[in-house]
Amino acid sequence: MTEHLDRGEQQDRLIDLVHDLGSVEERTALERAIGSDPELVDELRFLREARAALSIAPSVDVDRIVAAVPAPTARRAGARRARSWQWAAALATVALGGISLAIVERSFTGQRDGDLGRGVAETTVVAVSDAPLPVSFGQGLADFDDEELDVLFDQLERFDGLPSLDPAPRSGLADAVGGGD
Amino acid sequence: MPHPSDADDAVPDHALIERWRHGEQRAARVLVERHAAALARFAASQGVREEVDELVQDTFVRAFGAIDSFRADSSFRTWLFTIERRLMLDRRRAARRRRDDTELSEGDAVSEFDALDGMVAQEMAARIRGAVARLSPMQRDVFTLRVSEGMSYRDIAEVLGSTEGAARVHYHNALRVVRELLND
Repeated sequence: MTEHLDRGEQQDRLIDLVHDLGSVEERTALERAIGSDPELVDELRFLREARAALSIAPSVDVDRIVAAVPAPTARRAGARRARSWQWAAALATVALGGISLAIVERSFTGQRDGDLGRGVAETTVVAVSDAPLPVSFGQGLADFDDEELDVLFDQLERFDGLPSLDPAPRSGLADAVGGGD
Repeated sequence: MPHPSDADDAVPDHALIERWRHGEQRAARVLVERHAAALARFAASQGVREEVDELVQDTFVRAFGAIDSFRADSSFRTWLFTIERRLMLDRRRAARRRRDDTELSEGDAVSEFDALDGMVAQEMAARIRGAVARLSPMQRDVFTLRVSEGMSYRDIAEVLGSTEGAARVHYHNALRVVRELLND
C-alpha cells in the first residue's frame, strides 16, 4: 500500500517513521519506498534531529498535579446536587406555569360564560371600566350539569360577602343565579 | 500515594477516564504521568519557561473539572493540548496587558530558548530550537505538535481550531523556513 503513495504523501508519512506510528510492515515499506529519494531521506534525518532537539522539557511534579486534580467522588456529588437543583427549579417553573395558566383560563372562562360572566364582570371588570365585555367565546354554563351549577352558584354566593368584591353585587349575582332568592 | 502498575499503562485513556469518573483517583495519576511530559514540552516550545509546572497543572485541573464536556470522538491528549494552548494564549494576553507590550516577540522567544541551551549538548539541537523559536506562533504550534508529538493534521487542526488543510500548509511552510534558517 505504501509503495503506491505519491511523493507528497510519502513526505507527509515521514513523521510516522519518526514516531514509529503504524505497523512495522507499513514503516518498512515506507522506508524502502523513500530509500531512492535522497531529499526525503535527508528530510527524515532532519525530522529525527528536530524531534530530539525539541524533546527537552522542564520536569513536572506529577504528585502535585495529581493532588490538585479534583476528586471524582466530590465532583460527582456536586454534580448530582447541581442536577437536583436543576430538576427542582424546572419542576417549580412548570408548576408555576401550570397554575398561572389555570388562573388565566378560569378568569377567561368566567368572563365568557354568559350569565355567569356577567355576575363576575360586575364585580371586577365593569367596576374598573364601562367598556363592553369582549365577545363571548364558548358554551359557558352548558358545560355544567345541574348539580355542578348549584355548587358553583353557592360558591358565588359566598364570594358575594367578600369585602374586596362588594360594592353592591347582590343584584348581579342574583341575576346570574336566575332571578334572585 | 499508590503508583500505577504496568497494566495501567496499557489501559486506553477513555477507559481511565471512566475509572476516574467512578471514583478511582489512581486513574488520574496514570493519565497525568502519560501526558504531562508532552504538555511540558509543548509549553517549553512556546517560550513558557518558569511556569511550565503550573501551566501543566492548570491544564489537568481544567480537563478533569470539565471532563463531562470531553467528546469521546477526539483523543484525550488532543483535548489536553487544546486546553493548554488556550491557557497559554490567555496568559500571553494577560502578560501583554500588564506590560503594555505587543505579542511575544521573536527576540523574546529566542532568548528564552537561549536560556535552555545549556541543557542542550549538541550544537545542532540548539540551532534547531533557535530556528523553531523564530517561526510565527501558528507555524511554531503546528511544527511542534507534528514533529515533537507526532500528531496527525486532523488532531493539530482540532487543537488550533483550524482545518486539516491549513495545518498541512503551515507545517510544510514551517519545515521549509526552519531548514532555510539552518542553512543560512
